[in-house]
Amino acid sequence: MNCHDIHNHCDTYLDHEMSDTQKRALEAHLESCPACRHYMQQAQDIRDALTKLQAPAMRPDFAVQAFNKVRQQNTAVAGSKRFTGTGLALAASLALAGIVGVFIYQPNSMEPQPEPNAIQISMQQPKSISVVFNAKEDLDQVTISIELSDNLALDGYAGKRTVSWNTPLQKGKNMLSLPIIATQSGNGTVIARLRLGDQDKTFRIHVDVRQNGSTQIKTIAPTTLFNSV
Amino acid sequence: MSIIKLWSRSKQTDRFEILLRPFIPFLYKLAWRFTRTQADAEDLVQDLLSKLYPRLDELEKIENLRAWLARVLYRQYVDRLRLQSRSPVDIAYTGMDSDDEQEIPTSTRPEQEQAQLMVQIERLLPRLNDDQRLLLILHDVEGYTLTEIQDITETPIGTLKSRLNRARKKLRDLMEPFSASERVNQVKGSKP
Repeated sequence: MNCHDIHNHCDTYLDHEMSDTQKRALEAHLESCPACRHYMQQAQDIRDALTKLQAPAMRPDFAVQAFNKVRQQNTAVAGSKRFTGTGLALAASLALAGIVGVFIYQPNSMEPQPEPNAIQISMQQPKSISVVFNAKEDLDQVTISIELSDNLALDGYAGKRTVSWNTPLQKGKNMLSLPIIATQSGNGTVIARLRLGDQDKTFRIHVDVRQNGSTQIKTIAPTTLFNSV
Repeated sequence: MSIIKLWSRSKQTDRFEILLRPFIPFLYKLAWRFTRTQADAEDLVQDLLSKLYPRLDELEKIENLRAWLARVLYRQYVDRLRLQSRSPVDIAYTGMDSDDEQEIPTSTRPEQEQAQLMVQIERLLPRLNDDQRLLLILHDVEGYTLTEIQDITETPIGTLKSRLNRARKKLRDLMEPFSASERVNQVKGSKP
């Protein structure tokens, strides 16, 4: 075996894949050749160093951000499929720059509730509040945000205080159902915010969560903010 | 019906996160090994998650999800490389800036020698071709067996074996000048 052979076969040797005969021949050459001993040692050193190469640590918040992004992407997709204008006969309209109205529908009432003041739901049991966006024309994209006070949660979005997505609205009524869970007693608020270009409409629902196990949604106070385009 | 869909979707995102969250550090590390930058590694993992989300039901049935994810991430990265190679704009990773010669310490202490060696390897890895570099990363850095890499890369094991030997030899050949200069430095350092 010569120096050229050592260079070509050193990995086979280091991988312990040589026959005994080859191994003896290679080791005999190493005994007599300092350059090849150095080469072999370097090959081993490189292997050792490769196993110790460090990758920088991931940013601590990367995973959270990555999943949030996936959630947002798919919420937007779901939103665009969701607002199909189910045509529920609900409520009077409140215009957003004369284009979109927002209503609330209470699960325990079949009547439209422009300003309802009592929805009884039980603690820790999701109950749906339906918000209806009445669009006077097809809208390619609006942004809807739902904001919750600390003592309320949306079923399926544990721990999230705000859920936001973009969606088109079809002409007519587009219903959004919000399964609300009360997690703590005290006063709470659900804010449905709709943004269209530079215009905002905020719909505020005050919730009184009672410690005895019942929750009362007692006031609905729509607030409309008009920002000129 | 559309309303039910909304909340079943939110549950789906929860299931997706619960299933994949434990693998994110692993995926990021592998992505960083491939791309060598934080931004590209994050981008690669983010893309992967976005593509996998619609396949949640399939993911939940996979037995060795870690290996499966490694394979999908690898393919995604290779696809990116191919796209880049076809792009009129050439974007290539060049590793550490080779024009900025790093000062190589001349100490002969074993730990420092290994640290020097690791710096040189990091610098030289990008000079292997992509197949060699990725194989060396998977096998010698990350410790995958050739059988596992066969699954990940869908390349015959014989091809992988010879490719691995070529990659190692190429790296050693690239190391030679550094090794020579190190020896010179050591000789200089030994003078009174």
